Amino acid sequence: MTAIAARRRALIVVVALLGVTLLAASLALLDGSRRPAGAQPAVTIQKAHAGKATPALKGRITFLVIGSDSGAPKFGRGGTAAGGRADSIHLVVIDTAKRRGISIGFPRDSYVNIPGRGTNKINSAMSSGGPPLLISTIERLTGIGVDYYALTSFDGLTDMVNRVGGVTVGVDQNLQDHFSGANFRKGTQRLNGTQALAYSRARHGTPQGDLTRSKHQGQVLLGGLGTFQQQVAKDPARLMKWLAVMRDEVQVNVPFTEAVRLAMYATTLSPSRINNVVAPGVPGSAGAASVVRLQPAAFALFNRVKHGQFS
Amino acid sequence: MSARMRVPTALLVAVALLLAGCSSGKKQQPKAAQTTSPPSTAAPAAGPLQLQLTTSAVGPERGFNPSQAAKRVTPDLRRFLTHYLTVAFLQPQQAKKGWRDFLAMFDPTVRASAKRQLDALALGSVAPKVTAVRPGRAGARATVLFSDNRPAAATVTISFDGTATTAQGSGPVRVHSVLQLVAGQPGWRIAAYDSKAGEDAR
Repeated sequence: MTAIAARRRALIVVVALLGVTLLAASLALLDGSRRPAGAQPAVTIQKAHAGKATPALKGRITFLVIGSDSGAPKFGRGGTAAGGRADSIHLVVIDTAKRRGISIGFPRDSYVNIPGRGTNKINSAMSSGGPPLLISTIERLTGIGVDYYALTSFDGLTDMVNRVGGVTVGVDQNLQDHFSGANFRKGTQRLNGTQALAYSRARHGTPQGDLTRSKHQGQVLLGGLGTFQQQVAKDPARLMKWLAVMRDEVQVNVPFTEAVRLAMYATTLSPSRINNVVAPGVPGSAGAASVVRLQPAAFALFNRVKHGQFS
Repeated sequence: MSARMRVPTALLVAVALLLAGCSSGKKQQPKAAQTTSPPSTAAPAAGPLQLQLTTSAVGPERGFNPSQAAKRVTPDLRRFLTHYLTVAFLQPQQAKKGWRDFLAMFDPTVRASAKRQLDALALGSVAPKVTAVRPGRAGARATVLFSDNRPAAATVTISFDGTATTAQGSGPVRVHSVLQLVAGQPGWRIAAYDSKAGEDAR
């Protein structure tokens, strides 16, 4: 062996040893030990979990939702909402555990006993004694206790609907009533404040006049709930916007913190689980006045609702 | 050495260098990369939780200054949310106390649900294994409702991630939650939530 060959062999051995060392080091790195000295191996500590909750309210909650014909300067209606006649009256009963409920509309001309005032149209109860007398009237009529009321006016309804960007309502018939300004084609549509009020007020050209109008008011109410839920599902912070609008436009006797809890609960209460009905009645007269006389079916309905049957 | 032997040797060297080159591309410290150390159970140094909070305010249509209101409520809200993340993730010992401090931050109407869903809201069932959590990013966006010139409720979207250490190693923990708060006499309380933790919390 020449000296050159010996040097070449030695060089190859050195390079090979270096290579083996590097290979060993590389394999060690690939073996999951690519971390600085003293660091922890990466492990899965937390598995995927999801959870949600809204306030677990107890028992049954009953609201009286009232629309007044007064306290609306934009519509040239003076006075106060609470001192006016209740042209829209809905008793909303919610079974919070079952997450279902019913909205019972009362035709404004329903001829009923008003505590301490004799028999008269139901809408006069509020102008005689404010929301408390209307609540007493409803409680005596139905046998159902009222927890809270919510009262608004023409201005309140239109402003509220406009400020939340409109409400989606299932209009159940073609409707044209130049007295209320209603002009609708049947179908689900987004209504602005003026349209929502017109749809709620229209009774001319409807199959059952006052009763149909009351049903439409219930549709606007449930349409509002559905719109609220859609908006909050898309952007949870919309809940605060709706509460701010309600605070401005609706009078309630609910402590505000409780109203907030109720609104949070309402995000999960499907409108389809709330039965929209009108207390059965027939047109009649009392002296010179046109009235609606509630039928035995109405009292059967009240009795069912009192016992938790909402269908 | 024959020419036939030189070829595999050269290949071996080339492969070794290639692998070494790939590994060194990770910018590992050579000494660390070559040291096999047993998993350490020492806790990572836990820095303070730094919550990035953006607040906006809503209130009456007239006579309400949203930017002033937001500025006013931010410190109090930051305290509440920082405490929330701290007890949820940085204090694994909360598990031994039955998460008492954490659950106290919930409104009584959702406390039972929160207790059942601790895994979606906090370290939950893994807490007993965790020795420490090093906070990473913590951010929140809040919309606060004012009523009678006072904060009354808020919607908060909050995210947190960190690195938890256990005897077996360390790994990420994270949460993404929407919290609906009510303001009452004892301060803020969570009255509704929608929360995801772990891999889903992105």
